[in-house]
Amino acid sequence: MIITTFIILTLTFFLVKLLPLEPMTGTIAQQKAYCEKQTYLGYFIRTNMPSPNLGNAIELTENGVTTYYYNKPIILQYGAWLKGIFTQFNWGVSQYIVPGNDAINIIGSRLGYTVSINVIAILIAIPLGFIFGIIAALNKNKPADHVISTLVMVMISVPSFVVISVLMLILAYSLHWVPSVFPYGPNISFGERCAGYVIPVCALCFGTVASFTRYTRAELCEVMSSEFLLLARTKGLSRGQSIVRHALRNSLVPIVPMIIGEFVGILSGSAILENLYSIPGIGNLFIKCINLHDYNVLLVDMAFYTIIGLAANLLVDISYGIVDPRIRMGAKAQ
Amino acid sequence: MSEKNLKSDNDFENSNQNTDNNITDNPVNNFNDESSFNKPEYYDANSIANADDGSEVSKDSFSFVQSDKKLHDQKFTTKPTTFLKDALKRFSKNKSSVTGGIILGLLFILAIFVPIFVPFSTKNDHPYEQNLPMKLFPAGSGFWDGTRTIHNQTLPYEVDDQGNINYDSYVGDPDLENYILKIKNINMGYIDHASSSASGGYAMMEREEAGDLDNQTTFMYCSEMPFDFTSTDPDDDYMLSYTLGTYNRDGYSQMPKFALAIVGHDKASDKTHKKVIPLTEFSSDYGEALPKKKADMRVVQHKTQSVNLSEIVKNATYKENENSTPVSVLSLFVDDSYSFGFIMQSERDLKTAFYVKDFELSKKSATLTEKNNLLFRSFGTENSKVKDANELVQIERDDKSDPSSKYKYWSASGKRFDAMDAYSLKCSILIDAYEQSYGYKSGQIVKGSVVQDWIDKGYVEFDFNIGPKSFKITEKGKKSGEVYIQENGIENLTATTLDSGEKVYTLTCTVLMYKFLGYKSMPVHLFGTDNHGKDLLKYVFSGLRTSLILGLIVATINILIGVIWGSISGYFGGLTDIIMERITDILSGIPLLVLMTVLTLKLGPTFFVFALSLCLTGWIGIASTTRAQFYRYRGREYVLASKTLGAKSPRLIFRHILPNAIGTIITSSILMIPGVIFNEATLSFLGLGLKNLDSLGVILSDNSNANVLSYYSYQLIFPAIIISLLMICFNLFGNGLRDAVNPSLKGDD
Repeated sequence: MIITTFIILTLTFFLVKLLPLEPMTGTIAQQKAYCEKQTYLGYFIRTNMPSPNLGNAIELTENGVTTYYYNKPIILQYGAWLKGIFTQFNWGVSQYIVPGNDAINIIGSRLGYTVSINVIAILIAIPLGFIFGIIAALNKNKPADHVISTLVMVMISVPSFVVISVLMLILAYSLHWVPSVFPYGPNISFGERCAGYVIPVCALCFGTVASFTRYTRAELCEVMSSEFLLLARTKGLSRGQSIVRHALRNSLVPIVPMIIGEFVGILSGSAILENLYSIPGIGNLFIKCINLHDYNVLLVDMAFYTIIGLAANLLVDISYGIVDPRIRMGAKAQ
Repeated sequence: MSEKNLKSDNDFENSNQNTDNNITDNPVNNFNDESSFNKPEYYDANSIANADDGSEVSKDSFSFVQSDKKLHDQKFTTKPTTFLKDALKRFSKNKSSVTGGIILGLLFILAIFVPIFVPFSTKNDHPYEQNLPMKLFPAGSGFWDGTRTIHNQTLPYEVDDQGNINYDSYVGDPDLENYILKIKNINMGYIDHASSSASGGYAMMEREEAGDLDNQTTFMYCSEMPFDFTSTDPDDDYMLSYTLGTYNRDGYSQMPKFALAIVGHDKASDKTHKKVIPLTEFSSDYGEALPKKKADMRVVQHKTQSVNLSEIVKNATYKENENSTPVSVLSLFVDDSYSFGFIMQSERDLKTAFYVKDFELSKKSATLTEKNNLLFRSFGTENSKVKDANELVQIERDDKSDPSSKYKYWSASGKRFDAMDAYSLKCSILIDAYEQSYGYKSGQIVKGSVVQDWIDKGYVEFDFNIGPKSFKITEKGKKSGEVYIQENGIENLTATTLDSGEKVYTLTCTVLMYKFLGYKSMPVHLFGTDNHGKDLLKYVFSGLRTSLILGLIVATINILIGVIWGSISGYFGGLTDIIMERITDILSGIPLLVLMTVLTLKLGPTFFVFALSLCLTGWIGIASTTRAQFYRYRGREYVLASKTLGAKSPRLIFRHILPNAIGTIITSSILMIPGVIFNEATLSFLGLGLKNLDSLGVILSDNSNANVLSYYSYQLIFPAIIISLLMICFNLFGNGLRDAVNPSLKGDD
């Protein structure tokens, strides 16, 4: 897993660094600070003379002295990048988002919004999905099941940006119940803050509830038709007893790891949401980085997603073993 | 698993066997071959029963039955079913999937034909046709009729002698007036400016520009009131009560300081200029902050106060400058005319606003007579309260146009001074948006070549020396119906002579817009137009077509790559498999967005670059499906048998394994198309996708800005419905197909 992460990050590094050097924006002082930091970290070469064979340069004139900054060869930059990460956990400097600031700090300042929205969404979605799944499974092939299954089908199919737009249209623009832009900043009351979370949480729940319902229903249906449940009923347990004591517990086995997977799924899927609802999270940052070509921040953001994704895979595998001791990953087949 | 599932499972096994055997060239249906069957022996049951008694069974007791008949297996009366037929049968039983398939087919057909048959152009912007609503029925029918409701319009009204409120038609906005179909939802509302059709409200003073040098920016007063402040009788004291508040305008809520002031003519120095003298200390005490929801959201703080004006005036002193001795304010003004008001003092660089309400002046002893209460007289209200700020502001305004007017009650020293939250009638108006866009419109310029054409054909005639009035549409022109200028609608007529000697005429006139824009009759946009004036019906279905083409192309390429990759990986297994698996692992870890950005920046934002970037990692899913299928089938006996007979790898792959795996692969391929469309829409929605082509994602992202969400929601809803429908139908269809092809997977999606 570590090797895969490493290779993916390396590949992304090269892909990103293949992009052309962008002209700078901001004040001269900010640009200077950025270029100096880049030079210090080993990405740039600073010269006082233009040297055309090094490619495009960033020219900065301050107090009548022009300094030229050139990209180092990519492989040297890569070395510098690795050195920066491993020796001082320095992932580079931001170029446009907050010029001259450390990329890792930018991510850190925005992580809170993304994680809080996702955690709330998961906390709401799990019980809902679970309840609907159980209702559907227990009323299999009855009207309740059909209604739930159809809804699940629709909820899974409708693209998330449509859901978000429609939610914004109804809740924010037509009914005016919640703000139409995510409220953030120092002077926001608790009520407003809560209202701001309604749309993102609903939008994230929408798909998650659907997939939880579907998984729970499928699992529970399978367990319900299994032989040990028949045995339980034959022993004299009531339907309720057998469901609570045997069916539910066994159907939980594949669902618990799914929760972890789902969390990562919506963590990365909230980029559109954050972009549309102007939430200052890392998904929004990702889009911003790509549009502004702020490559260093982009790299950290991507590294974050990659690591989270792969770590989640690992966690899912481990949690299978914890939830159900019969499953041991990597154990020899008998 | 349910009973139904089990049953279909068996079906599947049987049908599977059939296909397996067909493919491995093992004849099963060859029932004519008698030798392969043992002939059944027939015997007499009675003779056996006898034999049980222990006696010898005689030979005679046996007889041949059917010995004269030739026995053959009877032919099947039913035809053997093929795997695909069987799957189709199962599929057609699944009603929701069939419905999904039909709707999908419809969408495909619409995507092909709608862009061909709808005549509007979606290439360029059409500034005259922006944001038209949906229209199917004639205007005024109430539903889908191309009308638009505009809310919160001020409705001018008049109050007659009986106190009834009268209004006839909307006269506020001349741009809308001609197209009104209905006025509805008439309610009381507020407006923030003085108007003849409003009443009440607060008098609001605002310091508009920051950085004003004058600290004491604004004051207001009621003038020329012959009050007698010299009286020593406390019953003659004048009481002043007022409500002051600060007002949060456009997010500014700074508190200006205020003081009570007296204004009068400075007779002492024998000058006639006005003097403003503060009577009280400047203070910013407006009372308590108002809880937000309960009061008007915009009023921040307010307070009602009552003071004895006579006492303040008597005790107030005034200093000309730092060194002079203070003098009584009253001694400054020998004349009887005084004015009162509030001075507003504010920070230099802050915008400020405050308001006055319920300004009341009364005498302790008795009700004010008409003689000494000008306020009473001038406003004709029952008591002396100055309630109607709206009216006051208007008087102040009238006053500006007429300097001789006596009623100089309120003033704001050159600053903005207006009524706030004045009551007025608000209404919603229903207008015919099509008439507004396509009907007669004045001030349009008709180009020279068109006019020249009309002259040549004899449709119009005019004498240039007389001017625009001479312009006439001839009988011939009226008959032809090609002249779209309104008669008597010519505003200007110019002619320029080119170097070549040709005369070019230009008309500024009222024209019938749809003809001016080149349509034969009034266009009807079934789903309206967007804010670039593009017909949404055509736009969305062209977008759907682009998305579908992209989806099909990308899916085809992905399937090709994926099947080949997956076959090799799954068939050979071992080290090859491990290496190939690791490669796909890493490829799938690279974020699509980055890959796409790099490619777009390097190669340009074209359709093929976009397709290419979707193909680069898109095949991984298919590859892993194929690999799993190959793992499943490559160990089967028939494959082994074929191998033993000397079949080479390609034959094993393409003749034996792939045909068995094809069902699952086809299903995941079909589910791949919506996946590609979804990816494309998502990326375009984020502004990273197609730049110069209109796909569903591009249209949706164009139509999901705040403006559309607030006013033209149908522009979002229509494409949203189409893309949702597409996704739902694809999923229903794909899942149904998957269930049909591979019933063992049914239920777990």
